[in-house]
Amino acid sequence: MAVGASRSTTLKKLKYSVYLIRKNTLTTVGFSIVLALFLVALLAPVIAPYPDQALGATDMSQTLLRPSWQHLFGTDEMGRDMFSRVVYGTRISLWIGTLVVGLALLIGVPLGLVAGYTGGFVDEAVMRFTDIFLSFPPLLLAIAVAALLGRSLNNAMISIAIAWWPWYTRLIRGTVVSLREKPFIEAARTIGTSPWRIMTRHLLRNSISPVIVQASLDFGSVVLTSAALSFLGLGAQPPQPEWGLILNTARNYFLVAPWYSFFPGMAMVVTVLAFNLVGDGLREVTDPKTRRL
Amino acid sequence: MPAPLLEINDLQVEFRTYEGAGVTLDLSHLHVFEGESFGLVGESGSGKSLTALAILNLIPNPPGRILRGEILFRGRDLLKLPPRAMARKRGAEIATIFQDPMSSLNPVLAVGEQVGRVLMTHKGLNRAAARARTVELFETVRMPDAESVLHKYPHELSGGMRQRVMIAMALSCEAPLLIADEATRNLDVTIQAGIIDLLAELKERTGVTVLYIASNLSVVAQLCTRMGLLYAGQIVEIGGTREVLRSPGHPYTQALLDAIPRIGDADKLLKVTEGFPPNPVALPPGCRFHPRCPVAITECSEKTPPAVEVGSGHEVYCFKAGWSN
Amino acid sequence: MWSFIVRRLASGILVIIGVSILTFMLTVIVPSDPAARWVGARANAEQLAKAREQLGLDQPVHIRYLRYVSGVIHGDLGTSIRTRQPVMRDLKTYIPATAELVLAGMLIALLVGLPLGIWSAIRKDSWIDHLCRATAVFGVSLPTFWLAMNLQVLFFRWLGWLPLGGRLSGFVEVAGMAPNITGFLLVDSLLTMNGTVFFDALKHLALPAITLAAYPIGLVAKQLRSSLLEVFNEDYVLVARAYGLPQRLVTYGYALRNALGPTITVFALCMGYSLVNTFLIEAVFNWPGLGNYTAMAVTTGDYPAIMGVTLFVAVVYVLLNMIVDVLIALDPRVRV
Repeated sequence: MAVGASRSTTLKKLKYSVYLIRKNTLTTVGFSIVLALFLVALLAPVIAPYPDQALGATDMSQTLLRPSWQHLFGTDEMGRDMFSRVVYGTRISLWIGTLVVGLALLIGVPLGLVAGYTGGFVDEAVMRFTDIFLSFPPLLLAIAVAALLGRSLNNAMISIAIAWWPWYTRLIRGTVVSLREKPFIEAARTIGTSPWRIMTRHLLRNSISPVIVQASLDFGSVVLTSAALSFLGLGAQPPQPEWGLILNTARNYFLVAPWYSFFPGMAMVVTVLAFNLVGDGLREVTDPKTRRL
Repeated sequence: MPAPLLEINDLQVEFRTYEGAGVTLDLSHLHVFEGESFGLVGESGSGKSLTALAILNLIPNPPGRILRGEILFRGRDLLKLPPRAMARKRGAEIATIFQDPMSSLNPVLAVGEQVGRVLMTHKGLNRAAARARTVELFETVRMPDAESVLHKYPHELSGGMRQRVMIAMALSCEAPLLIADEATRNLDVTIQAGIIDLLAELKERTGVTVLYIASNLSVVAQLCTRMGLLYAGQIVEIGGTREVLRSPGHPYTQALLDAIPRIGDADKLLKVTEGFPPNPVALPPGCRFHPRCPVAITECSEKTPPAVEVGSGHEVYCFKAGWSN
Repeated sequence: MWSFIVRRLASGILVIIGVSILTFMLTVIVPSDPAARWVGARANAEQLAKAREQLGLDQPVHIRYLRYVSGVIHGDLGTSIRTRQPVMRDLKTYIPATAELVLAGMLIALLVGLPLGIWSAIRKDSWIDHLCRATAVFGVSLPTFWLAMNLQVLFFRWLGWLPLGGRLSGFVEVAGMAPNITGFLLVDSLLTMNGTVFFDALKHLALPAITLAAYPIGLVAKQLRSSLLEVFNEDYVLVARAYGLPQRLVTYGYALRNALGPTITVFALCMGYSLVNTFLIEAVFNWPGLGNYTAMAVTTGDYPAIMGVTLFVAVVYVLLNMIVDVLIALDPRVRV
């Protein structure tokens, strides 16, 4: 833990962290896949052979074709090329992950910082409030909120963010509470550092690593949750090429066209897997117990 | 001269870190004779705890490994024993007391159970017999209220009591060799005194051979008849305790002694030796102490110093052995 | 210690109250009019007003909340728009099927996940370790419904070993052979010594339970492995080895006892996740349980049902967490 870390030790720790990451093959694999996914999302219009079909154009003469060289993943019941749709789906999934996790962090982290550092009544109130949210399994809360807001991808994202932020609040609050009595914080207080500066400069830097680990792992969970919502009809709406939605439609055909559900599902597995590997790797790197210096 | 109970020859242990691999222990030879108490002194990182682990053949295998050497116990090389045979020796013939009694005891088992297990494994006792014997052992180590301590958990006992549990465990199988790895390090000074007295008394009574590993010269001075000094994984001086402390032959030993504050010297500055022990990954050539040595000569940075006999049984590994005389 | 338990129970009750408020608030800000949904699209203004009065929608908010709470305490969770039955009765009908599925899944998860975690820790860095870790990571990465569908393709379409869905085969249901004592088909059929029903129910339970178990298996194996490895690094394990205690005793008697704690905690906490996964599984396998009920409620916009289920699941979740916290506190070594 970087208790009062200076520039040079931070650099050394970073180098050590990179070494640990590279040493662990699984984590490197995870990072590479994540990188590849972002590239695919970025270059979707270039990679996808039938970009207009990905966005909804149909071709009823080519329905439910098996995978072939023209259609690597086959086609769906509207004749759309599955490969293109899956590729474009990458964009949506990464977008969902980034936005939802980002939003949840934006809400949860400051709240946890303030609650943990201020203590007293504010802390109690915030913790009770988060406890209420935490008492719902996240997917359930997301379903409930999404059902009320109405069926759309944006609403789904908002509801997942609403379900997810409390975890970060609780996580960072716990770390802040254990840090706030440490001598270096007391020292900062004594020399008159403003609470704002203490929180942003000292506390945040030292408590952020478990949050980063959790956020990486959550990226995958969020993608899964949004797919679950779409599967239930609550998230993305047709003809968006969101993976969960495609799987929902695949349900009707999967016995006759198993490739229909296989490929988008595989894409999801690979994405979630990659983020899980990255999160696990980051955890090993930042956990003081496994970090043997 | 009778053969030593424990004889370590040419032992080299290597550790890999993210910076590379380094030889952290390099013992050319170390003998402990039956019935004596030998003190191995060194600062943190000098490799003393590694010595204990090496004798038990429990060096953790990723990062560390034994490159070469032999550890003869009663004439047999422990490093060549098959795992089961070695496990039988551990505890029964070589008993170890480790330095932190809180972390050395399993927090979820009662202390009586933990000692009992050792008895059941090595002496084949059943539960009831093990219990009875454990109570006897607790009484031997002067544990107040021995019967009730049997059922207590480690966190319910004080530091001194926990260490007594460890000592009881060490005595349980009447092992001929007792290794005490900084056994009093984490205890209050007054408790330390009690434990040291206990160890001295037990040694008197049972005649067990003790290898005492310490960073504290005074404890070794009190308890040990022979001692060796370890620096950067190597023995630099070895001999009878009185002789070594009265006429140290190695500059490092002299520096250690100089650093001890004396009551009469209230107005003098403490003598400090500049620098740090070397990083095992980047060892200096020749003598490992030469960068910090006040009397180093050219040879010291080129060749490894050999053992020089400066008294009966008193060896110094230095080109200028006996320089202070 | 007892004061901790009392405090925990008290805070648990507070949380449940908070949950009920949250759930109620969600019903209030419903965008569409429940009264309109109740009477249907072709009602006139008078019927609408009457429905509104019947449903108590004309009262101020806090009165509605109190009515809601008193209703809940009396077991009245409103009436489902879709089934026209009291939601409470619907819950009672569908809970046993879900409970059976969840219990079966969790049992499989423990039976598979624990050994997996132990083996991969003991044989660290060997091929077994890599296999177990790969399984664990896949377990937590697989989308439940996708796994469900692919298992169906594998076991039903290609191998023909297991049925597609439902709890019992058609002929068994029609013949009315299914006993109903506890609602748990496996238990009931054993109690009535009815072999046909037992095996039929078992075949139907297999795939859903395995699908459900995938995520907890991954979680348990991963957590147990890392806890065990941490414990293996502890001093007292070194001491145990230094005293020649046999490896099996060290692993199971010494290390496992310490490592199981966090693993069980993690397992209990993932029950909440599994509960919701169950909903998805029920949808795919057409399992007549709470999840299926909820899925249909979601598709038809049956808000009372959705809220009733949400409240129920949340309360169960809170109770589970409370039990876990209390169990942890009962451990004499834990200082609270």
